Amino acid sequence: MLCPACTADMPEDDIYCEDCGAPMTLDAAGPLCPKCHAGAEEIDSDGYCSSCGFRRVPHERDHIEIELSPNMAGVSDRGRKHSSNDDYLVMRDGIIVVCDGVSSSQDAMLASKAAGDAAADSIAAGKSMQDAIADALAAVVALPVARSDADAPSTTIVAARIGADSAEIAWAGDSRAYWFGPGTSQQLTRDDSWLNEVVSRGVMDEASALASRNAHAVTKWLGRDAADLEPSVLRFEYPGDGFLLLCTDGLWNYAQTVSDLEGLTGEPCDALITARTLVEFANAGGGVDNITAAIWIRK
Amino acid sequence: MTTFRAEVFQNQYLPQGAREVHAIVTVASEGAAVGSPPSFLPGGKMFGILCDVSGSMEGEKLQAAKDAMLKVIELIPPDVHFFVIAGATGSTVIVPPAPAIPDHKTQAVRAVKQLRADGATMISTWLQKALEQFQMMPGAVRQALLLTDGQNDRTDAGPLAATIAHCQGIFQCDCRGVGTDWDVQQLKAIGNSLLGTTDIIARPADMASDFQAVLASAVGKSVSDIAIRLWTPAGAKVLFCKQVSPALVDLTGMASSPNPRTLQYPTGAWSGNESRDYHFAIEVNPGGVGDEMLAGRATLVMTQNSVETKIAEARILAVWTDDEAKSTRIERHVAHYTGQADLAESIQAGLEAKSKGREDEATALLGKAVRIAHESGNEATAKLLRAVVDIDDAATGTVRLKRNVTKEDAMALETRSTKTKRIQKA
Repeated sequence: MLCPACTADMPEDDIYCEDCGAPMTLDAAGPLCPKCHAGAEEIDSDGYCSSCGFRRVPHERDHIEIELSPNMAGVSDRGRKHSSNDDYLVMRDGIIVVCDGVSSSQDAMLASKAAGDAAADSIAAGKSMQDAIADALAAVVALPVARSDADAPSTTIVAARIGADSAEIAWAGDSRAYWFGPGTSQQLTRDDSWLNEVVSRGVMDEASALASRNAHAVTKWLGRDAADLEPSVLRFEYPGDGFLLLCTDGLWNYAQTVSDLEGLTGEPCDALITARTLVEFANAGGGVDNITAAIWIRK
Repeated sequence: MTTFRAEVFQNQYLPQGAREVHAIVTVASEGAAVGSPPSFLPGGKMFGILCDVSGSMEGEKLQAAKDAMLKVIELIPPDVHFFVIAGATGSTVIVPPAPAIPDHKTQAVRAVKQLRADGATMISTWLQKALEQFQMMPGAVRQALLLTDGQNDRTDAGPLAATIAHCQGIFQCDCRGVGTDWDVQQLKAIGNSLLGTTDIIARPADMASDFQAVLASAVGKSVSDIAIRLWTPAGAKVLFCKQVSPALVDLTGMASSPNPRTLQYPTGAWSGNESRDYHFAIEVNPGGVGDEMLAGRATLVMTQNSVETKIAEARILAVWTDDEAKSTRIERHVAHYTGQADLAESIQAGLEAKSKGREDEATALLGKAVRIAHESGNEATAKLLRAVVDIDDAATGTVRLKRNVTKEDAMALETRSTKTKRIQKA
């Protein structure tokens, strides 16, 4: 049974979603009350919930657009179902960092921001990508823990240092980097997910692993309970003209294959317009998660 | 057509962890010009007089009551149905309900003139008889005036409470005590429960003018059966709902519950140019800093021929903040009426202490009352207090208890202590 709020797969008899806490019976027709998870029909025209009375207060991170140039821009959006945007986007000259705060952890918004800012600072300072991820991890671990360590603040990360001929990319979790070019389009990152882990270890074939409700559970993240993290790092030589896309699962859940995504972007000439197109596509599909898409066009 | 508007006065900012939300809701009616006949009254009006004819009324009091009733009957407009009940141990409808046309008035005058005083005081029987009359005209504006001079018979306490409950929502009743042998709290319980005023008529000679004022107010009502419906969020609790102006009336216990999150408080009939203030205190589940909550929605509802119409609405908010400058401010309407309630309680407790001989306590409480009356500009209450205490310094509430206070003055203070001073416009 899929959670109507966040689409996490839960056992049939669960009453509340383990991932986001929403009741499994709720009507997922629109935005939810952030406090009591009442459905859209309970929210009055001024935004107050007619069940618990709380109103969702707009947040500056609900929708972020960053445009460094016509070739480099990104959008991060709350989506249609989550009450906050736990994704975080940093774009600086030659640097993109995308983080997806783990919604079931405490202070997911703070975790993604701490990681994103720390990684971008380290990359800008000329440190290695491994060190940048280590600094991001340290920043997340340094966050105060309100409750038990079990759900300490956590986030995924994908970071790119963009050079003239190649890009260095590092990641942990299921936020992705793609390259799109004529005949060269490919997914650069490989999700740290339960699916990939069992398949690569030969425990299960892909079809039966995909059928499991654990398929998309992340196996690596930045957080207090992931102190021995080894990030994945690669260098990608550009095969020609094309563009890089860094994004969170809020996007790729709606466009599962490289060609699905390529069909949406076409050949971009303006990075911001393309990023917006991708975010709008995910929202039109339901926007069940936060959505972040960042683009650098090589010309 | 009478229209209504509702306005909220509150400081919605609360410090972290705070659960109590206070708001004053001002409800005002407008539309009918003063003195002009009410424009929209399909159900008509019914006015009843319940006159005490127990043995103790014999003499000057009964004669004054007869004179007052005769003057009032003369003044009742012809479109108003009226009746008269004579009450003692039992009760008799001496004038059955009919429009106040000359023939009916003539019969009524004859019946009133023949009244004799005899028997005990069993007010439950009077109210029960009035209830039966008012039930004949359920769509009308239904107002009664009850006059008594004595305490209700002890054996009637249970029946009286039960009858009051039956009468709630069926008619409203202004209560008047003549002389000084009646019980202020007993009569106020009837007046408050039946959404009416309660007052003392110490001198029988003042009865006629008082009755005329009650009639004028009753026939001036243009809409009936108005209620305030308060929605509160899940997990919230209404601590109290009080009318705080023109007089204090605790409505908390009078609420009905049309649905699980809503309580409905009766406000009775309104004229076309009235303004009343209500104080709501709601306990909510506290939010975090930055959270905003709709802590209550007060909706004014009119019921006519079983059809409910929402006629005004006001929202009570809560916003949690870590800015102390915002959260520590006390809204001046809330402060004023909290003070007026404190004033009434101090008088009540002060008079109680005085009657039991606890003079230090009485001096402190009545001194506090003098200070609040002075600070809030409640001159009417200050004047009543001056009959009971000598004031050395009103600003600090320094007073001395008067010796030889007349029972009339003490009862007037007790009866009228719940009359509040309207807050001045800022």
